[in-house]
Amino acid sequence: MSHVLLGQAKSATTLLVAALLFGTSYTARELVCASSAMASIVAYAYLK
Amino acid sequence: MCLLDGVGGRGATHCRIIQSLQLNPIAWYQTAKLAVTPIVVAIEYGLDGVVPSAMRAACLVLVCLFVVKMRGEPAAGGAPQSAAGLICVAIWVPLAAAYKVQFGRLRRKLGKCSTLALMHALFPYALVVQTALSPFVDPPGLFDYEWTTSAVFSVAASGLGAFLVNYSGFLVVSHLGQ
Repeated sequence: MSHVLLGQAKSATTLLVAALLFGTSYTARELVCASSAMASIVAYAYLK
Repeated sequence: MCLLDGVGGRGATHCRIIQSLQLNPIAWYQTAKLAVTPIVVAIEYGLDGVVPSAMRAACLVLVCLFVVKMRGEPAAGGAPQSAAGLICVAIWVPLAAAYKVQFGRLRRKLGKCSTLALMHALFPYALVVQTALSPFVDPPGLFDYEWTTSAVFSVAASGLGAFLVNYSGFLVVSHLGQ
């Protein structure tokens, strides 16, 4: 399952890095959802 | 090209069976990946009786919901372009799920091992399957390319890049829980 979530984490990170470093324009919803997805993945890694 | 990507280790399930933009828009591929998660949970339950805790299950649901919303309009408009594209997705999703499940089982079987050892244990099998599939999913085929120096360099660089991408992924996964 970690492998699956890693793929989703890469997608969310790509979006966030594109917005932060390259100034790509995204809606607030997209940014919030990407951040929340990352938070959920981190939570999955820590929770048992 | 698909063959060398297999050398890089994406494995049979990551063969470009649905990533071919001739069959599916990239947004549809990204959206279809979400279907892998519940199938992995179902297979792990069916084969090994593994049930994620309530907290982890909630996290998985949240990840799927947030990723769907993160896609926004492109995901909604990223439907397959043809029946062939839909069929490829239908074939790919369970294959991808099976690959992920086998990945986890192999990792549990090996126990604590290095990242390269994990790759060494998994990729030979993935490579065989991917090599067998390549002529069917990645026409025109290996021998139809014009193998100029520039093309060979590009393919080799692509293979190296794919290997490094997989190495970094395995590095992360080997430090995470199942």
